[in-house]
Amino acid sequence: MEYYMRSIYKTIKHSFLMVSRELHTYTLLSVSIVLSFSFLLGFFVYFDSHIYNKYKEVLSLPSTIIHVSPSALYNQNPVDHIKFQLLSDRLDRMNETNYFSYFVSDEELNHYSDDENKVIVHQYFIPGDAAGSYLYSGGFKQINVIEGSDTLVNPFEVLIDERLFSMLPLQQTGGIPTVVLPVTINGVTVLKEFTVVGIVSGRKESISTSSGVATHYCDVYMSRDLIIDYSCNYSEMGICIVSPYIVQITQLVRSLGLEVITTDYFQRQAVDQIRNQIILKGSIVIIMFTLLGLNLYSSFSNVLKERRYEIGVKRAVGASKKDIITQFFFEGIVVMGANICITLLLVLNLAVIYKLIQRVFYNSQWIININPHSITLFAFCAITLSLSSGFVFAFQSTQVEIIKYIKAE
Amino acid sequence: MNFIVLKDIFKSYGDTSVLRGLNLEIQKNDFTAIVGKSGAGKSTLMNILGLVEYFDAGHYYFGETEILSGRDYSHLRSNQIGFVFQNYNLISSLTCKEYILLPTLYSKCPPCDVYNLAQMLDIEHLLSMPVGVLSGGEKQRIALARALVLKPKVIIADEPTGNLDKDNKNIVIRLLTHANEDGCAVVLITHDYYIASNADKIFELRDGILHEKYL
Ligand SMILES: Nc1ncnc2c1ncn2[C@@H]1O[C@H](COP(=O)(O)OP(=O)(O)OP(=O)(O)O)[C@@H](O)[C@H]1O
Ligand SMILES: [Mg+2]
Repeated sequence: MEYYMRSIYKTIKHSFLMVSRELHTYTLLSVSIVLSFSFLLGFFVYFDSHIYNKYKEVLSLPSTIIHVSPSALYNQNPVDHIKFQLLSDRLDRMNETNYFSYFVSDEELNHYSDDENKVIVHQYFIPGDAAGSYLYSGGFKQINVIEGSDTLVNPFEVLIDERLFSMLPLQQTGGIPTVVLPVTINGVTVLKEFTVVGIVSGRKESISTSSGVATHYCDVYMSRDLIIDYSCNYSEMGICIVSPYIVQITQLVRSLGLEVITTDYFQRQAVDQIRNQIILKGSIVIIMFTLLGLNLYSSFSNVLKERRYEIGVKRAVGASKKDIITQFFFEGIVVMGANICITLLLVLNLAVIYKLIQRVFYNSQWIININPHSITLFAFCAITLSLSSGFVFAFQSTQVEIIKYIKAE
Repeated sequence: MNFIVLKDIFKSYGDTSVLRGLNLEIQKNDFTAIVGKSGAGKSTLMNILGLVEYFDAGHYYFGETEILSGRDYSHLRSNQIGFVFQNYNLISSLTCKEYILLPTLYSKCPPCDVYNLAQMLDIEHLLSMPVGVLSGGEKQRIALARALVLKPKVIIADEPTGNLDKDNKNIVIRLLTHANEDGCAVVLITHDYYIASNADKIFELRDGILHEKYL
């Protein structure tokens, strides 16, 4: 037993020696291993990161948010108010359920414009303590206060987003920033000065440029009291609900003839899409695995052709088939292992470079992500291919006829 | 007690029949020399003796073992036979020392002192050199050292002095006689009658069989 262990150890050591000495025979093989595995791993990293970056916002939302809006937008049907009232009454009686209603202003008013810039302000009318909640406007978004106060104490206080804040000429304010905003009261638009009490994070796509004019889209959160107490005009209204009873509320809202949209729905949709893409990924992996296997098989066979003489000599001086098998098995493993390590480093560096390119040239935050599935799948590919190449290599090594090759040299 | 017995050995390559009913008996401490014309089949005989080539017909007993076609006798090659090939069969990517110690990878037998052996063969200054760069005579002595390193029971040497000068020939002969005195059978191929004269028995390989020669 001890002798056996020692001989295995000696053979492994010898395998390392032979790999280092026969490095030139392995160059082509190594290039092909690194390329194929980089392709596979790169595909995983790109694919996973793509999915992650595409769905991260949707999936990071709480799954308990429900948004209700009137069935027809831009059509202020008095019946909708009654329906909203009915819904509120029912929601009041539900446990663990919070809700509030809000309004969105009539039009996207040109707050400011000149030859080069145009500022469009989107006005939301929310309860004074609604900061932190999610609204729906093309997608769910959070009123995320990043500086200042998060409550509107009186109707003439506002929260504005970063972009608008950065455009305020501060010297005019004398310390407390103010902003002049148009409000439409009974059909008459007047400009009023509002005190800025807090800053919220802005929209992602907040600038668009067309024919030399940069359009800045900004959000302003104003007090809902303006609508209720001062009867300002608005164009849309909605109710935001946070509740674990998604199914019941959804049914209730539908039965009232109102539109409902939930974060849960978006998340399920995202999960569905991800699942479809995973199936796609799986089929691509199977194809690549097969190609890689064939490629490795022929590459190892080629290496072996150059080593037949060596095998013949070793057999002639007493190596058994087992010795040769062990040597070449470990050589296969060593070569595969080393190349897979190189692959890991290579792909990691490429991903970081890609991330930097995204940051510098496209100003977007691309997060590198690889999920446990992919890691398992890659490890599976790497291990099975290493072992099977090792075995194939080893098996082919025994096919060498001693005398044929030692005479040939 | 015969250590090696060849009985009626036939071997041919396609239409050329090389060995035709060859007989040979070697005892434990025999020193046998074989001479013969080029192409007579001496190397073929050696390859069969050294268990690296199969024969077509006949019987071959190595110690207690009857050698059969198609079987693997690597344990005999590694533990009992020291083979010096006519074309050296070096592995050029190894250093001399690594090559000389190669058989120890495959055998349980303890190796002899490599430096001692190298000193006797005047190759100790070559030990860390790659095998590929050596001269013919140096290669020959490295190959011999590799064959001797495990103190085999039989040394099969196919023209071990072909590329050597007189001094080195003498060194090799001394080493082989030394091993022979220690109880190792030696089978040697040579064209050189002076070398053959060191042997107990001399055979000439002619027409596929061995003819004993008396000097
Ligand atoms: N694999 C082979 N296929 C065909 N013919 C072979 C093969 N090996 C050897 N021969 C032939 O067998 C004959 C004997 O060869 P062998 O190498 O045994 O000669 P030898 O006596 O050792 O000659 P030398 O003194 O030149 O080394 C030669 O005619 C050779 O051409
Ligand atoms: Mg010959």
